[in-house]
Amino acid sequence: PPAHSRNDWIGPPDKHSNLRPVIFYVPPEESPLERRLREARQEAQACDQRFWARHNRAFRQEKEEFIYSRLKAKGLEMRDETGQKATLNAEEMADFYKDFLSKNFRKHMQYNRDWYKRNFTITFLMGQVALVRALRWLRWKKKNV
Amino acid sequence: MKGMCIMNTDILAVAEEPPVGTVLADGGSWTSSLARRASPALPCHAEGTRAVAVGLIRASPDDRVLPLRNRGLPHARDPAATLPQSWRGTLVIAQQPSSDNGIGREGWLALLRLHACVAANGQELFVPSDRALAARAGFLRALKEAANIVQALELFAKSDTLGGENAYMCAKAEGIGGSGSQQRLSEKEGVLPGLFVWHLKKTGIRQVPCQFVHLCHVANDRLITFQYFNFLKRMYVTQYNKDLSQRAKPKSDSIVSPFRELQQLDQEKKVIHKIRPVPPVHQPLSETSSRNELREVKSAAETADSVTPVRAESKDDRQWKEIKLRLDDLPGILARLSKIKLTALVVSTASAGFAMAPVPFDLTCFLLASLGTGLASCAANSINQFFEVPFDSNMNRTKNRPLVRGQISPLLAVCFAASCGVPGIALLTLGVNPLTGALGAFNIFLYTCCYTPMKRMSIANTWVGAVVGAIPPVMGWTAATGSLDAGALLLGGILYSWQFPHFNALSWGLREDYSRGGYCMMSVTHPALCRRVALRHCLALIGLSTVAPVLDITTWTFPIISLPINLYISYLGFRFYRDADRSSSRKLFFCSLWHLPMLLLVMFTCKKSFLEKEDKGDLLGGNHGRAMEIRLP
Repeated sequence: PPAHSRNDWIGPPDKHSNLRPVIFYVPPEESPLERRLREARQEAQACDQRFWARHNRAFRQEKEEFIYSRLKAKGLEMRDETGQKATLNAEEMADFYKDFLSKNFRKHMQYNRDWYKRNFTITFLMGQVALVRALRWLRWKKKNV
Repeated sequence: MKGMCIMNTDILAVAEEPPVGTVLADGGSWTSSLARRASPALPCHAEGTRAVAVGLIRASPDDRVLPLRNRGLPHARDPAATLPQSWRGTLVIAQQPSSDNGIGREGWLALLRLHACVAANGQELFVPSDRALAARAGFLRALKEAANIVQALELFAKSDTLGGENAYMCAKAEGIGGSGSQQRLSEKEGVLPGLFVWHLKKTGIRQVPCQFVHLCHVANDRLITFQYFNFLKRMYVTQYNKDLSQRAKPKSDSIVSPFRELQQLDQEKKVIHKIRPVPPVHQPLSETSSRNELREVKSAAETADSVTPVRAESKDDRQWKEIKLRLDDLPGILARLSKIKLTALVVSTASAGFAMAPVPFDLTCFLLASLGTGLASCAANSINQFFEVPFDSNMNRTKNRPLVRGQISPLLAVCFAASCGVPGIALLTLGVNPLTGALGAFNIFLYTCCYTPMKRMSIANTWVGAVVGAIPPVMGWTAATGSLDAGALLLGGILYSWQFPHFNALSWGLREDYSRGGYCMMSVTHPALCRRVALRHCLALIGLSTVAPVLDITTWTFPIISLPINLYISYLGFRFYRDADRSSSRKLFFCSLWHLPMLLLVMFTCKKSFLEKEDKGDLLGGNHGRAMEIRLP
């Protein structure tokens, strides 16, 4: 994002976590409330990024392993003679999906709780910041009128 | 090649597989021989009658032909075959006419990867237009969703007027110039190199010998194969506009339009060099009988976003964007935030409930109820999206939502939800009647605070979601009559039962995304239950339709007329139950899309006239009177 910009910028989805990173603009006269908001958002972003990147990586890896073990059981190779990757059909993958979901259930529960908490705090802070800004603007308007 | 409209001097070879068991003169497999044939140095022959998947000339640095594995056919490893640079990006395709053609799909996926239009000297020949990019994206989607390439093509390509908004076909182009074709694309139309899409004649039997043509690149005017078709340089791209968008109104019917036979333009057959003439390739073109306007509609219980044309988004996706709210974008953003199409669906089910109520029709009440329901639905959907940002970004279906893309801040989303929900519920409570308002508020609560968190906690969310979807018609009914009659419950029951085949069929194809995203859905954890429930509720629909006349909502013609469609969906439900595969789930899903509006329509036409019931009871009159009192003057 350009240096002179006064807004936050949001980027393309991350390769691992599929989340879009945000670069926050730090205004020179940032109030403590605004700073809290920005830091909360940055922290939330980092947490989410960590979680999903790890989670997706684990998913991909376990999927590979599953495919490999199933193919092995069937007596096929991971890659056939022409170099193409062999895949399993949807029904066979269904077992894996079910397994993966139940394995990660706890992790998701924990993440859910954290995400809801963070989401509410951030939105609430945003509300506060917006309110303060609006009041400030009104005061400024009154002064200038 | 009859009816073919590919015009490209590059397109060249047509080769067919020799009949099974043929021993080729040079020994080895047919695929390897084709690979060799691809070399300009050798003349080729065509034999046999079946086309076969062969090779993809990849845009790889070493320009090798990498034949695709094809089950049941000898496959070749032919690393030695090298091709001249100018062949890079060209495609040799064929299709084995079997339903099990995963390898073919790989090939198609591979070929789509080479969408870089790389000319012989490495420069871009064309910059794919937005439409071409969309075409490509659409085709990728079709590939993912179809059971095999044949279906993917049928999904993907639809006949259309050339130059019409959905017509694409791509091929490697030497240049655009072309004349004489009455249907030409403007030069700005998207062209993607190396990809040929052929319409297959839908003969009803997939075992019919394949109608694909192999196309090889002509290198430097040297004609290679036994037979080639000299096309005009004009290319024309066909694309099946598979819009994954929601239905705007539940009563829309799928439009049926046959594939147009591609006009054959300026086609010549030539024999090259000293190759003996061979019989022409069979090239029946397909005519699919219906252009399925494939739309993905989620029930009120589930959420779906409309996937707007990927072209704009794929470009945007790769850029950094400023988080700044632009006022002229706002309506679109809010529409997507509130899932406006789904909301429209909800409103129409509510109005169906209103219409079915046995009271004289009151327009103001109807409009107020619809508006209130719509606002409530917008609010609920916005809150739902607000809650689900990181999960949505990880699922393919939902990753283009406004909150995920940062087009709107969470605060604004909440404010918007509040500014829709509060007036909506107030409108319902004060303008219609308190019961409807209460139902609306309850529904919002159920959807946002029960269904949305439950999606990640237990599979019972589907049942909760079904209730969420069932409430709008009940709301419509209570808006009209002011009380919860058996009729309201029946209508709600019909919608409740409908949700299950609809959603279960849909979720069958999304298992991977659900599993990775951590959603607890029946299709992932209890697949057998998923299918059982879907079937059970299809049958329940039949039962409920029969109960309708008993409760004096409709005449006895209703169960009779609705029986065929109910039986059909039950049949599809049974197929889904038994086969448990992609195609049956899709069939069931798409059936559910038209089944509901039809059912409601039939119900409405069979509605028992109010006049017949006037002597029926004070109760109704009383309700009606009460409803009238509560309405604002």
